[in-house]
Amino acid sequence: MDGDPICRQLSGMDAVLGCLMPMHLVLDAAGRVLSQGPTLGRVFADRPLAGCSFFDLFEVRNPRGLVGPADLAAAAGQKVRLVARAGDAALRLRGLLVPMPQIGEGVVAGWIVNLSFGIDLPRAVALLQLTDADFAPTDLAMELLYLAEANVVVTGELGALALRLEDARRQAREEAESDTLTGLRNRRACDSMLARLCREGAAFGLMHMDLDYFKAVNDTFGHAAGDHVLVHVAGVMKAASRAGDCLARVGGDEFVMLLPEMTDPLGLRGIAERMIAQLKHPIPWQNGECRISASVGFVTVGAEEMPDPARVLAEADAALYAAKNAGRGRVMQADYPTDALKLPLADAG
Amino acid sequence: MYGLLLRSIQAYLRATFGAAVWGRVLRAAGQSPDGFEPMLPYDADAFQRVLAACSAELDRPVETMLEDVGTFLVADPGNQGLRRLLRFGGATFADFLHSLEELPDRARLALPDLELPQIGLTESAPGLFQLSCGCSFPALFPVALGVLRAMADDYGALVLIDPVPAALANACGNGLSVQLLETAHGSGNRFDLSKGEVPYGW
Repeated sequence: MDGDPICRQLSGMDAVLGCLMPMHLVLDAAGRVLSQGPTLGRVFADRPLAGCSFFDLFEVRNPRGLVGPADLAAAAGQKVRLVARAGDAALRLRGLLVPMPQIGEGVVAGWIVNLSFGIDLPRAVALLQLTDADFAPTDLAMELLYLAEANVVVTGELGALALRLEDARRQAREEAESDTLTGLRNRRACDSMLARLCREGAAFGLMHMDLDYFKAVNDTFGHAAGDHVLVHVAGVMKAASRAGDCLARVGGDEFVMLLPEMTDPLGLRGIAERMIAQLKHPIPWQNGECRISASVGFVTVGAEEMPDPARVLAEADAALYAAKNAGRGRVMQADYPTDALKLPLADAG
Repeated sequence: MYGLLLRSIQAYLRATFGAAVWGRVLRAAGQSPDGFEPMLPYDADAFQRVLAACSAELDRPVETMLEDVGTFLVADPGNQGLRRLLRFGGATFADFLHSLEELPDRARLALPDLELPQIGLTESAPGLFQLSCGCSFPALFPVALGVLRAMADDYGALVLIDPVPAALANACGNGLSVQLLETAHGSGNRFDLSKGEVPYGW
């Protein structure tokens, strides 16, 4: 209370009460203001309150029956909840109303109401620009304000930590599911997406592509040339696919494309043939050029078929090897009996 | 505690000497280039290695560096969090000094797991204080010294802060004498209880 003059000159009852209870009101027997504490004065922009009716200054929220001077006696000793009729802020206050010591038998001299901001403290501090000096040293206002601000600081730190951890988690997952050479997804990512599509009964097409003559590139030009070719293949696949497709390198020169909603055999065949045609173009490498081709087996899965993922891969694999055996550079659709995809892999024979 | 201190050292070095210097410290201390998180636990060994690496990189004694970290924590205009929380301790610097004995409990209100060493304050003559800091975390002592000097500036108080002679120091050799020469020497920095924005009404 260093800055509060009322506590420096404690002459008279008003000053003593104001120093002890900066948020108090003294009312006469009819509920009119006789004096008030300095901080409560701030709520009413320091305008003179003497003579104002308590009921004009405050809207009583509780107790319900406290509507006029005649009800003050019944409310004595009870907790009161008020809203200050001052500006648009509508600050909520709570407190206690007690009778002043009686002058004579049966005569009430008046009332003392001591108030506090309760949960509206941070609003009151911001609106009225209150300082440490506006609160009694017994008031826990400083601790509450400190705690509210400390809470914001700590929550902010925790929130930032959660964001950084989420970022790290996403990055770790990205790395765990990526093929570092080509930037395509890896087998793990492909398996998990295939499992999800099968589990959800989604319709999709799956292509299994294997490069032809890739071993010859490695043998002739070395592994750096082989890597260069694999990156080139990834580029061709990306150009041929849509945003939601999953492109994965699942082995040395083996690739899988998962195409949600794509079940049209002609469309799938078209995509595969265009990729093969592009891959047949010679790929420049240093002073020479690498020549490869590719074979593709594909399978389509209709909505609600919910097949065994291993079975889908096995059928695409079978189609791929049929394509290889038929002379390479070809596309073959999986050929299997109706409903065979629903059978577990072991029963397929 | 280690997390908070490591993060503070990280903030100080990055802001004052740049990310490259901090990166070299992390490498020399064998720590992840991602640095430290204030809320995650770290061990004493990592902390000591970072201190040694900072001292070597900056060519300054560990204590001097830690004192600068303390000053930075309060005086960094980009992060007013600690300064504001400490200013809630009192309206004047003397009032603030008296609130320091409550500091470990105030810190626990915000972070229940945080165990700050007990701080003792005696006012041997008007304006002459002796401060002692518990021995559970010796590295905090120089940081506290830096914080105290910066807070005096923040209040605009003119103070002399000196380590007490060894004979008067506590078991781990720390103890400060704070002589408050003038409470309103400089203008200090403004402190409003509210950060300005009015919280939502009802």
